[in-house]
Amino acid sequence: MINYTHLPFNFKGLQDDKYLVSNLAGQHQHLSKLDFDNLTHAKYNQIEQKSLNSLESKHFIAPKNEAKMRESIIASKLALRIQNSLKRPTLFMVVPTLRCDHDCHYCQVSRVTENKKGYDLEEKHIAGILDHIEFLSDKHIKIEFQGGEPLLNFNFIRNFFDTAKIKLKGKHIEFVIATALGPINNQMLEWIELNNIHLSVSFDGPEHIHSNNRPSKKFNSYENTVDNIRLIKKHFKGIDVSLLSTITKQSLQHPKQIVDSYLELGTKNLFIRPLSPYGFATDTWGTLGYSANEFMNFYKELIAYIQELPQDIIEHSALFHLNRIFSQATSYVDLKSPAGIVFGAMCFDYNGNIFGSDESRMLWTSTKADELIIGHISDEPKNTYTKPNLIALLRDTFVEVNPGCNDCVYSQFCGADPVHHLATQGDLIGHKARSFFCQIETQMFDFIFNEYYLNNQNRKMFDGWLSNGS
Amino acid sequence: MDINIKSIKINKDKIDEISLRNCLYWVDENITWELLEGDLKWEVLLSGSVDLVEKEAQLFNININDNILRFNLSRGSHSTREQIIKNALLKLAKND
Amino acid sequence: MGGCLMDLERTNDLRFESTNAPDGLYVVSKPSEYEPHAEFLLPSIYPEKTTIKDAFEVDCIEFNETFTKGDIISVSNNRKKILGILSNNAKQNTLLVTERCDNLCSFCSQPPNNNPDTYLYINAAYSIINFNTESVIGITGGEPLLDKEKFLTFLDILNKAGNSTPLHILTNGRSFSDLDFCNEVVEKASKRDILWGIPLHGHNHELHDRCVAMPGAFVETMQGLMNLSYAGQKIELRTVVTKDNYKNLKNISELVNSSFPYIFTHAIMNLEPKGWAKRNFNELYISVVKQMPYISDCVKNNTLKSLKSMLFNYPLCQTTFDLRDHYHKSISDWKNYYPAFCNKCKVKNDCGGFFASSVGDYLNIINVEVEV
Repeated sequence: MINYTHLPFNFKGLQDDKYLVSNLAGQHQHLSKLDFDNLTHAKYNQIEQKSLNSLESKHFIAPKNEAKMRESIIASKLALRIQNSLKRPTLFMVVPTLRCDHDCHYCQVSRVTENKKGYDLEEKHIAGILDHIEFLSDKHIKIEFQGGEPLLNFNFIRNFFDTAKIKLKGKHIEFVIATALGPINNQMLEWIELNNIHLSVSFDGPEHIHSNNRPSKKFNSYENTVDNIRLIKKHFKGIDVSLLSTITKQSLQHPKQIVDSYLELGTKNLFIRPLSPYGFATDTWGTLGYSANEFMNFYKELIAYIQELPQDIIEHSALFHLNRIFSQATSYVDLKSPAGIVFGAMCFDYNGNIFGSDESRMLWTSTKADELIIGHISDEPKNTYTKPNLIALLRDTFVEVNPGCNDCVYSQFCGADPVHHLATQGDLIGHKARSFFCQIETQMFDFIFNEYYLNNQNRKMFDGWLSNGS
Repeated sequence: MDINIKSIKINKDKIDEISLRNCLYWVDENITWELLEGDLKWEVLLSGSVDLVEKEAQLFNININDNILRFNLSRGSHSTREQIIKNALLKLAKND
Repeated sequence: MGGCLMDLERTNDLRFESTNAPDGLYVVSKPSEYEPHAEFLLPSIYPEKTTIKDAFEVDCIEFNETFTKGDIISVSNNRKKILGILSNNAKQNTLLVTERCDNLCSFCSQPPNNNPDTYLYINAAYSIINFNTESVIGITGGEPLLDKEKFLTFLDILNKAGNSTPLHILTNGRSFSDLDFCNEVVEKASKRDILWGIPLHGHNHELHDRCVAMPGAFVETMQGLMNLSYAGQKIELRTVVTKDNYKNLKNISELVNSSFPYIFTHAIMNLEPKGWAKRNFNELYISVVKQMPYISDCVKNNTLKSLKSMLFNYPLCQTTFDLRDHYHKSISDWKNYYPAFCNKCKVKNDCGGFFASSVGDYLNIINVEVEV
């Protein structure tokens, strides 16, 4: 009989009297109440054999004489996870203009009207931006154009692309344009297809949702979006279009219709994004917003509907969470610890300001808090990234030691969202019990773990998504 | 709105103040809480609307039990989370 | 079923009629483009009369069918045999550098002994230098890293000669639990691409130590794996599937994924009835059909964590379809053997066949279905 001891772990009671344990090596195990009680009362040898084997393999328990070695291994695994989060940024956002042809209710960037002057990123800054990108990045990067409506300054995009091809020759770059497709024409589409540029388009669902959320003075925004997507799928098949749906109070009653509207467009990839409760006036959140519970009720119904359908649809928000659980992937900059600020993404604004994330840019727009600004495009890169507030961003975003996070069973899979907490509560860490971010994430992980381990059909579906890659 | 006050008493030998306050951390913002220290027992008073107080008292009790378990586990463990985290950061520092 | 004449794919040693070459290593017909520094140069040998200075001759009937220019061979006069050491005709080249070992795996295909091995390390180094290939050469034993000094010297000789041949080194990894030694090896290994093939047969000490019949092996192997993997070295984890461990394959996967950063592959290996494995076959062997569901669970878990799995030494006909992507046609070509019924099989070319050592009793134990 082996003389076991246990190594540190976090735990939580889940649905159906089951328990989840997780540890700093990024591993988890789903246990029956009996096994959990045996584990927590040091009756290791009474744990059911299969669970016991898994617990030992995942460093929850160990023979006493191996404890020290396994602690060293866990520390190495944790160091690796942190190191992976500290790699050079891979996502660079560029804002060619703040002008826009839509009036989305949940817009967080103080957009301006289509013809307003003084809100475009000047082309003289292209070289400077590329200098910063060159300085900061490794070989594989993604450059994403955002706005406003980036296509309203298409010339900038084209010049930026041409210059980047030369200046960043050795790098492997994926280009994305986030657009509502208003200004799109065949000439642009040909150029986009020729150069392998991806498009990221908001599609909130059926007309009464999409046009309500995202109105435009120029056209029927639902028709504009749908017609253009259909056109691209028919005549520009080489263009990869990702769709995402931002959920507002109006969306909450219609999960099935949202899924159906995606199917009608011929796409099998869904990406559901909850709204962030900052950057709005209080009454706007009252009209658009919802509680974490309300969102999760909607989301659960959506996933249940997807599971029933014969088509193989992938919901990417769930997939991101699954990837975080099973491989601690760090590709999703919003769910990282230390935070993805600077270390995940960088944002170059239309006025030349540099931000560490899109959220920081949005928050600055509404608060004008200058400590969010990292620097200016015209600054020398080597002098730019040394501000003390960057250190704070790092220091204060380790889930392992933050109050509210350190005991949480999901901490190794979740992340810190310092800008969210700065915006809603005034400091980078925030009081997690009051945090919309924490409530949503907790309920998402509860849902994913419960479904994965208690619902065979959902498990099969999730496994299928995981093996398809992400 | 009917206000209800619920009193929860816990033996001081079962849980320390830090763990107790960790539980109070999670109490809903619409509840007012008060922590009273006796010789042998802690007393926590939760006040708010009837339904909410009932719900929060239940959650609070679960949290108390969880924290007692955490405390016992960390005593029985070979080393603490803190030591592992420290080691991880040392390894990171050495690598660079 | 299974004639008495071995239908082996490749023979490796030949009798010769006569030679003027003393015992030792030779390069077959000196390749004109490459000549290592005189210090490391091996003499040449020709299968016909030659007037080249310092070269030797050998009269051997099948020589030209078996060996080709640039191959390394060894001459044994008292056995009247030429043995192929490294050949351009081989699908896979492997060098034995020692027969000594500090594990005693119950399924060892090359049972250890205490024979002197210094000459083996030296011969291996000189052979590699003169063969001068960019293809991978396997290094095996015994335990090649048992004598740390000899192994470091082996690397030093290769580096000194400017050789950069990639190597696939099979080791139990226990020597790497010595962090200083590990760092020294990593430094000397930087001149070439090395894949370290390290076995892990169990998810805990009880199982692994039982398989390798050596208490303490698991802890040392784990420490070695930790040092080596976090130093960024390329590792092929190897698990031989036996009656003892087949139900715990997934746990081994869980252990690996809980402990180490990027591991190159997980090689899951069917038992080869050779050496001690042959002696203990009945106690060790578990039918491929019974193994498959457990291999499947293990591979699924590996894939979830982006760890590549490879199946070795399995007949294709018994590999379930979900695992076909991980199948590797692997038996080294001088051990391949296809029984007569394989001739009817549609996928024979993709299949590794059976071990030559399977002929006789062992094919009867294995129930084969032919895909026609």
